[in-house]
Amino acid sequence: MLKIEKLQVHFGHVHALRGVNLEAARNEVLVLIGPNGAGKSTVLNTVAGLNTPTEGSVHLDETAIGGMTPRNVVKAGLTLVPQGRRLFGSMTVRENLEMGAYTKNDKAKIDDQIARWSEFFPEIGARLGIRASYLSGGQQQIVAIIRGLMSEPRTLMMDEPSIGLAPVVVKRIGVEIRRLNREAGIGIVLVEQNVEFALTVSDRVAILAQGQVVHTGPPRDMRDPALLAHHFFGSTPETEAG
Amino acid sequence: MDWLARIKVSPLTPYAGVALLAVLAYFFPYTSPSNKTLSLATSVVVYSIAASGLGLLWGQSGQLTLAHAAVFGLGAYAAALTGKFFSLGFVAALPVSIGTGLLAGAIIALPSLRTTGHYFVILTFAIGEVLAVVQMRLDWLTGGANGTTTPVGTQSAFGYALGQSKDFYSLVVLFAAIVLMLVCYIMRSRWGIILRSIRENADLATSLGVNIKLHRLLVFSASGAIAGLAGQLFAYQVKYIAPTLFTSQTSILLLLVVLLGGKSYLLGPVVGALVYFFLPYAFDLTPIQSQIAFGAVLVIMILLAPSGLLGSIWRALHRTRAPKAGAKV
Repeated sequence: MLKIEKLQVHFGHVHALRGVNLEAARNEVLVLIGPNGAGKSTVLNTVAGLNTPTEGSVHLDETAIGGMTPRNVVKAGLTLVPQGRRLFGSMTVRENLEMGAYTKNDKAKIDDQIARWSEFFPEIGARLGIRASYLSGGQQQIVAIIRGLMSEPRTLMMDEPSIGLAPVVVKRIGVEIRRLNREAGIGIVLVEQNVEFALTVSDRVAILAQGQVVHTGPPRDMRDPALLAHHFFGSTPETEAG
Repeated sequence: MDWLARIKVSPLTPYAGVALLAVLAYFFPYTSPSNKTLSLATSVVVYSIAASGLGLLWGQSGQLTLAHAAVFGLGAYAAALTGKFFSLGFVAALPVSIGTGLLAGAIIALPSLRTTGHYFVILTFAIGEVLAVVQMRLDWLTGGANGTTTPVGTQSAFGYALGQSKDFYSLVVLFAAIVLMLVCYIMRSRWGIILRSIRENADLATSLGVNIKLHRLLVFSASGAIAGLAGQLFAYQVKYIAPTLFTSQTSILLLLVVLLGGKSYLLGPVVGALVYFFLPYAFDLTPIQSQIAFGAVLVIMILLAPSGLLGSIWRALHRTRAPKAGAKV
């Protein structure tokens, strides 16, 4: 269980997060959506220890991880798969995965993990010796996810796993993410811009607007255009009607 | 070139390669080369060592520096001055010059913990120049612009007479072999992977828990230690050192050597140094002509072969293999 309470972050004069409250259980896929600049990535980065919160707390099960260094957050059992350039391109797939186990020292156990996930994702298992940049976009995203899993997290956070991928590949990534949650029992929190993808992959959706969580609920809530319009564009159902 | 893919590469192959190369280089004096050739060969080996330190730093961890020659110079001065003032012999001076290089490397790394990219490179340029000025001004210690001599005399170390060019060359080859094997070990170790991950994407490495500052500090120290060792060998080779030998111009020369061979390859610095010293000799170029030639070579390399001569050769050999990996999801 990941529990975020009253989390506040400032970047200089910018008040990026204004008291975020959010809970994510291990048996669910929670998707955080919201308009640009709402602070979605900031939430993940702060929880991962890349930003320092000015106030509030973050707990992973019983451990308070708010304000920890990235290394200690990873050790506590929470890993972030960051956005953008996902892999160390000139390194082999295996080396990328070994980097994911950076906080582990047991070589045999690292090899076990690689073997385990190679079985879970066979097409990656067959490509361990290849330069990561030679893989397709979808394969690279899966390698990034496995790299996140190498530190044996209980909860995995992903920042826009669908970005830059073809629609058919996005669908495939969604299937793998759900499989990971159901079969491997890893809690998933992800940030998405692609609302369609968010709805198919999630068990629960949280909307973040202007640095606060303004709505949480099942994905079907998002089928309500008025609700989305309200939180994304600031218009209310009344003004829409008028 | 399918046969290339089929060769099973043992983890010991690169070490065996370095050993073979070292043996070949070690017996080079038995071909009775001219004094000029032998002296060039010694320079190649000394610069290979210095450039290997830079290769580790730049090629592996991706950190460019223009102060490498300054660290190299500090190693040279450490050896020459401890010999002059404390009568330290070659062997006794080794830990001093290596330690000086290590410490200097670590100190230069300190600003990189706050500044990165172009600003850091400019800063290393300034540090290099300041060190040259300090060497110039500390007359009483360094002899200022007149420089200082290395008391080689009739010393011998590990059974090699240091004043004899053939003996000294052989000794330098042994040091180079040790350094290359050490760098090879680092490159293939877990630390090597960590350094490359920092080069590729520092933010991503941080998110995986890598303490980037610590590893920057460590790799700068390792690179500095290698430069310090090379500095001492240089001081014993040329027997006379002056501040002008260690300005950022020499740093750029070292960068060129590394770039020429291939900055991410173990033997890149060796290949680069070979080309740098023997090309002008082979074509009988005047110093000015060779400067122009290397300027042109530098431009061409950066534009057409940024991975250096070894990188180009490697790619030519593997061209037929690359498409196999591109299969779609």
